[in-house]
Order: sequence, then C-alpha cells, then structure tokens
Amino acid sequence: MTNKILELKDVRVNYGNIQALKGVNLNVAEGEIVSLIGANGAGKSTLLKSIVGLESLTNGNITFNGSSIRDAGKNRKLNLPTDKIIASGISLVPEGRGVFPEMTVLENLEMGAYLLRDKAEKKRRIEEKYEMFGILRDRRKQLAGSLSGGEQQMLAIARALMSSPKLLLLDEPALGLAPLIIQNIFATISKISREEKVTIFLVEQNAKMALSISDKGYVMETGNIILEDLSSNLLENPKVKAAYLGE
Amino acid sequence: MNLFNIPSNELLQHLINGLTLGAIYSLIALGYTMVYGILKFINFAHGEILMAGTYAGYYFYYFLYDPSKGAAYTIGIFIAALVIAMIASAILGVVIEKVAYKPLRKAPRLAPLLSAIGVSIILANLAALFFGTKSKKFEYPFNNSSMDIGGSSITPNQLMILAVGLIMMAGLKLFVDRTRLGKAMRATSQNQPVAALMGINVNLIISLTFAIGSALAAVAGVLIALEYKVYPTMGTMAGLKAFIAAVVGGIGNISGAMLGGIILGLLETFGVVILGIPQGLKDTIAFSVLILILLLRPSGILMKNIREKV
Repeated sequence: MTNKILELKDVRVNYGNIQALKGVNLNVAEGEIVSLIGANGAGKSTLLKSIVGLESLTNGNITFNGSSIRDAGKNRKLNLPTDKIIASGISLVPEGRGVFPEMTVLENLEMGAYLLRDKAEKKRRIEEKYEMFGILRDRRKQLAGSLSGGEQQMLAIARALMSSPKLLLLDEPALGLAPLIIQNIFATISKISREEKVTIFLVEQNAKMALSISDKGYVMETGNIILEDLSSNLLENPKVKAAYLGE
Repeated sequence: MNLFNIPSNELLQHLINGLTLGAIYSLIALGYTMVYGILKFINFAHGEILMAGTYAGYYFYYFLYDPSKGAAYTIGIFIAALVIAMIASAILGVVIEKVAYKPLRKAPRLAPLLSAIGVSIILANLAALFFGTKSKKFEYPFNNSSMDIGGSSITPNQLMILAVGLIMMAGLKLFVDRTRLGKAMRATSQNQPVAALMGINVNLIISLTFAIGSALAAVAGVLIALEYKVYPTMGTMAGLKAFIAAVVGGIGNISGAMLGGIILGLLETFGVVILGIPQGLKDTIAFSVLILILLLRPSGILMKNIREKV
C-alpha cells in the first residue's frame, strides 16, 4: 500500500455561522497527482488554506507524512503555524498567484527559498527554475507585477518549488488564463510531478484539465466531498460529465 | 544666484536649516510608513515612543555625565546614550504592538487606531508623572558654536543631524533592499498571507518593523532634544509633522517617507522666508500641505498604483 502523505479527517471550518467545510475526509498518496474539483464557493480554497494554517479548524485533524500539522483541539503541538508547516515540506501556489508585485522575478524566487540558509544551494535552485521556465530568466530583473497572467502563474509555481517541497498544493492555477496558456500550465504541472518527484494536490474549477492530468479525483459540493474515484473513472461518470464537463 | 531676492549665502543657510529639519521628519516618518506598509494602520503612539526613548537616552547620559573626564568621554557616552535611546524605543514599540495592537488585528480598522491614541495618551501622562512636566535640557556633547561656511553659519549639531540622518536612511534602504530579513519585510507588506506561505514568520517581521521604526524615531528624538528640550509631549507635534511627511511621500513607501520629510522641512523653512509666514504660524504650512496632498494626490507623490493582473 502506498504511503499517505496528506490525510484530512472530518475537517470542518466555520466562518461565523456559515459552514465552509462540513466534515471533509480526504487523502493523498505519495507521488500522486490528486485533484479536487467543484464549483465556485464549494469550499475548495478554504480546504487548501486550512491545510497550510491560514484557516483554523472547527473540528478534525490534518496529518502530513504521518504527523499532525493542524488540529481542532487545544494541543498546540498538533497545530502548527503556517511558517512551520511550510518548513515541514508543503508549498502552496495561492489562488490569483500571489506574486509579490513590487519585487523582481529573482527576488520572488529568493523568497520561495526563504527558509534555506545555504546561498550556493539557493543559487542552484534558482538556476534550475530558470532552466525549467526560460521566460523567468529573461525577466529576472523585472517587477513581478509587470508580468502577464500566465508568466505570473509560472513564477508562482517556480517560487513554490524553490523550497523543494514534498507536497505541492495548487489553488486554481487555470483561473483567468487563456486556453493555450492553461494547457501549458497543466503540461508543466504534470512534468513537475514526473521529474521532481513531488506529490501534487490540485484544486480546480476546470475539471476536464484537472482530471486529465491527475491519478485520483475528489468532487466537492457546498463543503462536502460527494464523489471520490480514479480520475479516469470520473471523466466517464455521467454525473460529473453533466455537472462539470459540460457534456 | 538671486532667488526671490534672497542673497546666496542666506539661501544656503535656509537650505541647510530646511534639510536638517527635513532629516528629522524623515527619520520619524519612516516608522509611520513601515508600520503602515505592513499593518495598514497608523501608529499614533509613534511620537510618544520617540519621547520615551529620548528620556531613556537623557537619563543614561546624565547618569554618566562628568565634564572633568574630557571631550572624548562626553562624546562616547553621548553615542552610548543614543544607542540606549534606540534600544529603549525599540523594546517599547515591540511591547506596545504585542499588548495594544496584536489582539486587535482582526478587529475593525478603527479599533487599533483608537488603541494607539489611547497608548499615546497613557505614555505622555506616565512621562509627566515620572519625569515631571518641566522640560529638561540635553546639553550638546560637543562645542556647538556655529561655523562660517560659504557666508552662512552652520552649527556642528546641524552637520551631525544631516550625517546621522543620511547614515540611518542609507542603512535602512540597504537593509530593506538587500538583506534576507529586509526582503521578507517587503514581501510581508505586499502580501501578508503569501509571505507566510514562503515560511516567513509574519509576527517576527511585524515586531522587527516596530523595533526598527521605533529605534529610528529615538534617534530623531535625541537629535531634537539637543536642539530643543526633552518633555513629555515633545513627540506630539514632531510625530504629527512626520506623519504628514509620510503621507506626502506616499504612506507605506519607504523612499517616499524620506523624500516627504525633506520636502516638508524645506517647505517649512522656505515658507517662512519666501511667503513671509510669521514664525508663530509656521505649523500651518505642514497642515496646509497635508490638506493639499489629500485633495490633489492622496496616494502621495511617490506612490505608483500597480494594478493586479487577472
């Protein structure tokens, strides 16, 4: 049996009286690409934020590599702050890319390896990202805010990889991008999974794209997981076809 | 040169006066702007943090003061007093943030602002209670008789203010632009949740911001104290003026605060000379500038609006 790198057990998150997540159970095995699809407002982004500690759990527990990173209980050892979660080997590419607009491309990459003190290693990783995304090398001295949407997404992904994470979380990488660029982004994600040995958990409204590159998929509706299956099966599932693939 | 019928030697004099005043405003304005950049809130206790540090420096200086030990000793303890003032203000700034602002981080934006005003009133009154309301003279650690430079008289203290101001500002700029922590500070001010996603300890960066801003204010406080006096409300007007300077440069923008301070210092000095505004009404210049900036260019002169790409 493969090793579960990420496991969510009965995760609930409330915003005031509104339940954003209503008891989510989910797991991601090492080396896989897992996608979570669902409509706008289903709670997908909340789920990712709760994993990295940007939202507090009302109930449940999240483990990474077998140890607790978020917990609804009072024990602080089970509930790490965001910087400690990042240090343990998770990276998140946030929704809307979240590049630092008034920093250069190079500085954005440097921030991705903020916790790395070894300067030579930092340089090596930057060089590696330039090899992977040639456009970033050309624009390294430009302010990130001046890049196009697609370029910013590349930068956000490259920056997230700078910490050499074991698990990469992506929040709607296709959002607001042109179809051709979306294809490019997804090809890159699949390449990263193959070549970098990074486990990927992807949240996406573009269900067709997400399922076509992932091994396993979850379908979320208003705070609940309603379906869980191999992505290839989900692509053929009549319910998914009707609701998310527009067929 | 004969600008507005001012002889060139007087012009130089006013220029130096304006720059010195401006350097002090800049040093204080940096604290407002750095804190605003990260927390989007105006720390109205900043002037009182300046005052508290200045008192710390003052008492340290006079605890060790001994004219019989010679000039080098006096300058030595003065520099030490400056450092003590910086440390005292830095600690105070960090503690105030933890006690009075941090618990209100998720509260409506008016709440921390009111908390800041409350803290400033408390600090000014505590100072009056413990140190007395009578102002204290901070003697020059060196002979401050003016020198004749190009026909205008300039004091060593003015030169010191310019030099210290320049060093502090250049140092801050280098720190923020080049170092790992400085970059983390910029990242945090641009996008706090994403900064946390980089592994940055955001609370640590906020504390660091308060520490640096407060320490710079303490430097300004000691420099003001040499020229004027030390008293419980010494930070109020200086703080307000510096706040205006920060708004002029574009609040949240570090270079803007430096430039805004210099501009305000020059405007105040030349406003009196050129427009013939009486000395007693000098303060109206700064507040008129604030009103004009808020009406004409509320984002400040250096603020560029980078729109987020979708």
